[in-house]
Amino acid sequence: MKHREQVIFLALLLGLLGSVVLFGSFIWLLWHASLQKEENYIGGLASVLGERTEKILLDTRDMLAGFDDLKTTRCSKAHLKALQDAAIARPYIRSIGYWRAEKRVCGVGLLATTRLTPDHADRIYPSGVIAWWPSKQTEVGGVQLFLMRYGEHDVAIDPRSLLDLGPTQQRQAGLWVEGLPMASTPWGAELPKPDSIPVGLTIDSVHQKLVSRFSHNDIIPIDIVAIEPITNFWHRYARTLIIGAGAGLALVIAWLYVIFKISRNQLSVATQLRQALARRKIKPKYQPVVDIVTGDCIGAEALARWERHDGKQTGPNVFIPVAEEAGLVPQITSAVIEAVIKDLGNLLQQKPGFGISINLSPEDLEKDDFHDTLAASLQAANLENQSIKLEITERALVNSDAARGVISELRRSGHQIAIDDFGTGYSSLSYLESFELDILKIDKSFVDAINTGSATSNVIDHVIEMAKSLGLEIIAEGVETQDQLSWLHERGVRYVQGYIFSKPLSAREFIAYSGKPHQTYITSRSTHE
Amino acid sequence: MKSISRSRLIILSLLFIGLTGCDELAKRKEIWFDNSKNSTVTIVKPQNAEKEIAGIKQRLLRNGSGLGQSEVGYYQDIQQAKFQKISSKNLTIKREGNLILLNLQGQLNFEMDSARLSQSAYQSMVSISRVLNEYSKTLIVIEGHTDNQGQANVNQHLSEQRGLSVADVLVRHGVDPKRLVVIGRGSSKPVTTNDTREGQAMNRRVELYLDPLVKH
Repeated sequence: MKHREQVIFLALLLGLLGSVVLFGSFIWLLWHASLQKEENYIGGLASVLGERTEKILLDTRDMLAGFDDLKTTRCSKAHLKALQDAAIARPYIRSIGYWRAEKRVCGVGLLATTRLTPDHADRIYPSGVIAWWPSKQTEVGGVQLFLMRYGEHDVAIDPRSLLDLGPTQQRQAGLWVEGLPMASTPWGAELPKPDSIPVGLTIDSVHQKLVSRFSHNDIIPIDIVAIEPITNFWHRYARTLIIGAGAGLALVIAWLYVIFKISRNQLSVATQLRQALARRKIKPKYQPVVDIVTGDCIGAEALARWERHDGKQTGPNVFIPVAEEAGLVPQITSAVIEAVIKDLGNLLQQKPGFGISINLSPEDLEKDDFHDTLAASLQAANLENQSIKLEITERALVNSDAARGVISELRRSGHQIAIDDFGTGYSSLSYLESFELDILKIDKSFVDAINTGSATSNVIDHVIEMAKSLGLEIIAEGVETQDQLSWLHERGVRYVQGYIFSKPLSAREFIAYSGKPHQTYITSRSTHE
Repeated sequence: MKSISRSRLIILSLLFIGLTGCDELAKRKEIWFDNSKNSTVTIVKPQNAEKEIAGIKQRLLRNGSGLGQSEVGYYQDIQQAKFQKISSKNLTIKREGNLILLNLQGQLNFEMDSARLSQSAYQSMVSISRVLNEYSKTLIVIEGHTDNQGQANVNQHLSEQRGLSVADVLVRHGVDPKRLVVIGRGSSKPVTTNDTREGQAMNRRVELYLDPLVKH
């Protein structure tokens, strides 16, 4: 139950967290991508405007300087034609004038009747160029002009043409030259000074506005400021955002589905295992152990198998981890013991000395009543304790002192104790010596290494020597070839299990197998030689 | 000691002028000291300078055209720009409201006890005179200054002489003498310390104010 709740809780938490993170980061990403796009758009626009403005101003200055160098008589036809041609060539110019001090003597363009003499020049450059930024004093017909004078000529520029954005999509924009306002769109729009806002795009959450400022600082410092309500921005990018949100939602759903699948799988294995135990679907298969000297089957190792609905069998490597997590291992062990007694009770009664070994987990040994239950079961079936051998793993020995106590108790009561998977854990010889054991099982990995020349293949020699010196019976597991068999035989290993004799068998098959006499492979081979 | 050496120098310099060119001296004297005629430069004493300058401006306005109130700023702006256009590096142009202050950095500084213009200062005054002729609606106030060495009355006279030297060049290059006012400030307005030789040299100078003639 605990496991199940954990899984559900974890799945819920992960699902929720994942959804929030996924959706949040997706929206965040989109939002920023949209802002970036907007920034790039305005930035690009600003740089075009900035460059153009600078070009216009520099060109105007050069044009004025050129007029002073004209050799024509002032206000002659030729002089006026030169001014006219220059004005026509530049659409932003409204007028060009020729002056003597404060008197406008002649000129071309639209300022035929108005003489603009503003009170205060905004800039008088060291070069002698004077400039008047658009103001009330330069206003003609409701349009504030930008004036520039150099020497005896001046020019009036319509600043609106500097900020010609085309379709501005409800943006308000302003153009500052040398920190002074030059033009704005729409005309007279209230815009913050460039100095008061950071470069780039910023969100003014108080006024719900997107404010951007871009500076062009090549020769003449130029700033472009643009403002738009955040709602405009939303409208412009709504489609992207909605599509994005949809995609985000799809991602979240996919994520939840994955979480759901995983948690259900988790839940189902544990649950199904529990159900299988209740329905007695955990059944042992029997891996025969053969004496290679006599050719007799002397017993078997009971291997737990789970019969699934679809008839497939699942091995312990799949369900033991789940069982361990769910605390179902002792139940599996007792299911196996129960099945062994039921399956092979008669056989064991008939054949004293025949032994079935059962794998125990650390959890089994930790159970207080394990020994009593086992004893009771055997007694009820009228079986000797000797007929059930117990296989334990190194880990079980190492991990728990209590386990060792239980093991020696079991041994005293007649069960032979086998150590499984020796050599794969931490045990050393001296460590092994401190236990009371009967059988050492050589792991398949060592048998596989026989005659391969690998490092492991040397170890098996030592393991065998060690087992002999400790007076332990040896059973080799997973023997598959004649080579392995004869090698083991040469080293004095007598008991063998593996595919060379038989695969794991059902109870019925095993009963039949154990009754048949078997040729002694080694003997027959020896006679051939 | 000091006064003796100074008076000696004055004698020497007068001798020098006398030796170099009698015509020159004669012309100068005519300009410098012929205050009786209308067409000559006015020398104003510092104590009643403001009042006198106001009077001169009134007189000029009566006799010629002045600027409208709305034109003054524009006029001075474009005049300033014109100076900047023609100016050498040494000319500093400052604005005090509608006054334009011209200061020839170093060039209008004088040798000790001398009112003689240097060659470069002369050239600068020639180009300044062209702009002054174009922008004729101002009163040109020329202030001479000395360091703090020597007696006050001698310095007063010397500062006037320095102003007149400048006025002389302008008049010779076409500036209407009626527009010119010379004030000798003596050592009363130093621009820097008189404790060092360099400071003293900087204080021996002439400054020009262009005061616009505005109609009321």
